[in-house]
Amino acid sequence: MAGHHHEYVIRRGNIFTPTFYVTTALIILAVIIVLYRYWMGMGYITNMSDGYPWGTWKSVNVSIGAAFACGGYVLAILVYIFNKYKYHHMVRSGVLVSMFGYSLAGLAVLIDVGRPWNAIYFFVPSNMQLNSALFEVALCVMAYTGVTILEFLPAVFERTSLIEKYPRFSAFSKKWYHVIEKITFLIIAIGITLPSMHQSSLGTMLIATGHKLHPLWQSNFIPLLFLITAFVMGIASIILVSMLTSKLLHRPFEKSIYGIAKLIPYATIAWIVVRIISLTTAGAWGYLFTSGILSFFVILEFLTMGIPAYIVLRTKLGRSKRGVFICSSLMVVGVCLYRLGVYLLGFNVEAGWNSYFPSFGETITTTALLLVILWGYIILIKLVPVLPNLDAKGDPRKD
Amino acid sequence: MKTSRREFIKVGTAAVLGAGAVTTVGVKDAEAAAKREFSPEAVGMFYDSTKCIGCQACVISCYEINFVNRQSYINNVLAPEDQNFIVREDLIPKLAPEDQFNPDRPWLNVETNDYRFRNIIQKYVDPEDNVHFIKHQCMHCNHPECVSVCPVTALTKDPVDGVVEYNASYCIGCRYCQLACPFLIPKYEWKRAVPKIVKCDMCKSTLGANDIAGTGCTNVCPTGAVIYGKRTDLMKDAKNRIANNPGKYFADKVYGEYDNGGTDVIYLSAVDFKYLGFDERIQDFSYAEVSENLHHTIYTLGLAPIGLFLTLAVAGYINGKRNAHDTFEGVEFEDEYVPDTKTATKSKEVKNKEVKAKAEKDKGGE
Repeated sequence: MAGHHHEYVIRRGNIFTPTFYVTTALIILAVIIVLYRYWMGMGYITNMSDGYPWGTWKSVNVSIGAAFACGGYVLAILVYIFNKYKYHHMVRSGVLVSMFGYSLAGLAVLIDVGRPWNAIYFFVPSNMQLNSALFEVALCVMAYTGVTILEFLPAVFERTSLIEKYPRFSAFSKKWYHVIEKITFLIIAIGITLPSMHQSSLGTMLIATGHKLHPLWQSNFIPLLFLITAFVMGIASIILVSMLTSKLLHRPFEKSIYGIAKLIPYATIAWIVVRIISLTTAGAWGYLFTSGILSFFVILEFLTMGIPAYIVLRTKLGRSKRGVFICSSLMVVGVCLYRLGVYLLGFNVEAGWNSYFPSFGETITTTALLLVILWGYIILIKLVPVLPNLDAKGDPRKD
Repeated sequence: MKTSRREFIKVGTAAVLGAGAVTTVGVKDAEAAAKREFSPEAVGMFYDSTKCIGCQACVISCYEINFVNRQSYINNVLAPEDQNFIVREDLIPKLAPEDQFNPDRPWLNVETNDYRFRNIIQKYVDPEDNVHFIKHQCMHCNHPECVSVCPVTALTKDPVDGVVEYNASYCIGCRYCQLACPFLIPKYEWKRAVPKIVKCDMCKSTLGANDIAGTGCTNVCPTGAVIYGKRTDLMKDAKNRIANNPGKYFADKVYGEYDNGGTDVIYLSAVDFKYLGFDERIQDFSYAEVSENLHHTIYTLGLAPIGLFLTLAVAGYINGKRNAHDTFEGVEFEDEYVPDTKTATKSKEVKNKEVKAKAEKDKGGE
């Protein structure tokens, strides 16, 4: 086909950049802390207590990390289900973030749980506990991590097929590339079903805590709100990853994100509506201005979700780079606040129990686990074709 | 072909909305949760706060049986030749330096349940300077949150005697039980490399929990403030005490009859239970019911996920066919370039110059 352009490109360049060294150093520090935690027990490096048994590893790395990894999920729905193939060129970077986001959420759980070797009992039928939302989350996250790897493999195979030194490996890559291509629709279907299940169950988990979760957050609508925040965060993640990549790597601006930005009002307004319903059914409006700092957090949630919707719908700013960036950043803050609210901020045990603030060790490991996403991203875009070939936007294929 | 594209958008929307709808439907059913019946054989404990003198003999007895000498109590069940310390090591506490006998501080400083004390006595002095004691240990709820949330069945409620037991060999150490327990009972060995959850099991693992053996705490109570027996008998006893002593007990209430869906351990007290460490926000139902009902409604027979999957697979398949193209044509590379420095630009191909021009155009445009 004359004039055909590839959809994705490999970024040519040195992997060992200053960013790489800084992130690697922090990751090594975190590895040392984690080894110490395994050797001594987690009480020596964390501030978690019997009153606050879930710290930042679960509330930040799992609940927020898994939300940020929803870019691949949103793009999969958009491209393969809503037939918007014009965004197809963004899928791989979304899937790459999802793959690392979910793997790192899983790794955070392995660091967080005290007896990780017993995780084999998730697969022993007599031990499966179907009443537990955590059981479903654990299985779905493990399965989805596998699915994201499958979704990403074609990119790797495209690259490995070029290795002329090993013709059999090259042929193997080509063969399996086509096999995965054929069953893409199945992988995508699983890859959308699983996040829909566990993103809501991440919220269901906290319903069982009953009165220990503040009425401003405790409600039967937590699962639905968590599902919607997955969409909100997914959209924000696609936009931010694309914009930051363009800016920091001096790449051309990806115009398709204006199309993605059109989804912002749908997601955020849906969240606001359900949040209002949830506050009403929980009878929690009375707490909205009387709970001190917690009231502030909830009001901030509404603002950070409402302002992007307003900007995109009502102002010119919504059609500019700056506006889209502000909206996405606000949405990230909003989702983080809501999910932290459910997992940590709104969790008030009772008087006499110490409150929780992450320790030095937890802060470092939590940050490092999030940085591994960045670390993996900057390495893999230079090894396999992930970034969209923006030069090829004149591609004659119709959407 | 535009109409069919619209149809797929509809299908996609329906699938996503369907998932949301199922979630919302679940909310209604959760309210109409059916209460679980107590097992007629359920055993429990009955603590009468007005009889307790606060001697803490129960605390020491429990500490001795379930912590200090737990090893010998568990192994006494087996014949000496069957005793295998390595196999049972998981169940045996290792004494950390701070747990060992300290001649300078030979007393116990117990403020709350922790991984050593499954059972504690707390004191409350009311405004009239009357002293009230309260014993805290696992309530053995009828519908326990901890059992409901444990993902690997490490916590179980015995269907016959109703004891909520913990099995360390299944536990993954996720501490969800701690998060969910409304009475803040399960404790975690934070400073152990191989930590366990610790909670009262009515001495089932050490003494065997039967009418002859009793429990560590009930066996030593000098005033009979805490007694062990079948829950039905204990409940009758409690009601009799209330009937025979009008006005003595707070609101003529047996705590645990209905609280948190009913508990096997029941209490009588002269003061409001909220002063004795029982959160007044604890409801007459267990939140395990709410979350289980919601969870089960969403996943009734797995219909919602399977339906969603099939819809998505069909939509994805058809969309994939419509947009089919062979993308496998090798790999293209994108050169690094710095837009502002002419000399640093390494691009050799015309294509890259175009990219650069485009980038600058974008920059100028905004």
